[in-house]
Amino acid sequence: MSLSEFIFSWVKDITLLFVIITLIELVMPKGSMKRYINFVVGLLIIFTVINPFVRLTKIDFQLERQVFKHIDEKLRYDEKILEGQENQIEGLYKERLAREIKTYIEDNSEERVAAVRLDIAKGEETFGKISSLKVILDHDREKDRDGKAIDIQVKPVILDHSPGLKDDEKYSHIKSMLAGYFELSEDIINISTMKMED
Amino acid sequence: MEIFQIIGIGIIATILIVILKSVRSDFAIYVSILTGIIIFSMVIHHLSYVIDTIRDLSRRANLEITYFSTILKIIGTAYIVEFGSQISRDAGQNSIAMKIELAGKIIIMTLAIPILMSLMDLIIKIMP
Repeated sequence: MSLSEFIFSWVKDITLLFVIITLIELVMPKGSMKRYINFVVGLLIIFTVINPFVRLTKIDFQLERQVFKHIDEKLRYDEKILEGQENQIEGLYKERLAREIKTYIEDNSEERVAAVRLDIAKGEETFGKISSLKVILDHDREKDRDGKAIDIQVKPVILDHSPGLKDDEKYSHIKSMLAGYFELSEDIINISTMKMED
Repeated sequence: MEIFQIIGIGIIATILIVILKSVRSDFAIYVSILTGIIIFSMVIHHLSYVIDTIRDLSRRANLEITYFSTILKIIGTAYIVEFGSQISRDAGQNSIAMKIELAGKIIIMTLAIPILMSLMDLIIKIMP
């Protein structure tokens, strides 16, 4: 490409650009948004003016590719924030559900609850449903007359991880009560007790 | 001519609003919104013709299509934001109008940032 052709195409691009900008200015709504449109139009003018120099210096630059790269970065950033929010919501939901289960058991039986551990389903249709529930009962705390819990003794605590048939049979009424109230299958509920060392 | 229809609708709506304001002022805003939507829908196809012409011109000028589509998106957003905020302003809800405008500005900035960043990259690459 000769120099005159190069300058000619450059001038042609700039002239057409200004015709387009005039049309855009006509279409543009009046008001506070105008400044923002002008900002982007300004970027367009800068790009058109320096574009021939990019071709001259033989830099591998494609605006479209670069813009997509930045859009992709933004999308990934959005995804990260969304993921964090989802985790927070899930944690809060589990915590509230555990608190509700604890209050329900304590209000409807003589047992005290030491801990509630639960997992929730993450399928699209079943999202939020309890997929497994483990309730650990505290046997060494009793209710006083007012129903308030009082600690009798403080001893090292050992968690009994084996669910054991005994516990399951013993607390089957709590199991069925929970299954009925929270609409769960009894198979996913596991109740065990916390044992103290003598 | 379509312009006579539009002016006719505008004048009738204005008269209706003036009458309604003294009788039932709460109905005046509904008439105003409805008129806005009718006039907007009547001219929207003309706007699409203008935009097609601009698109054709940009193709001739070897402009990047990404750039151009972003500008169109920004103009569209600006129109809708102006429309929404004007309705809120007519109803006397200035604070809502301000919030709509704020949302519009943020969305426009989000659309513009990828272009700004890529232009910055280009300028940095050109620098020796």
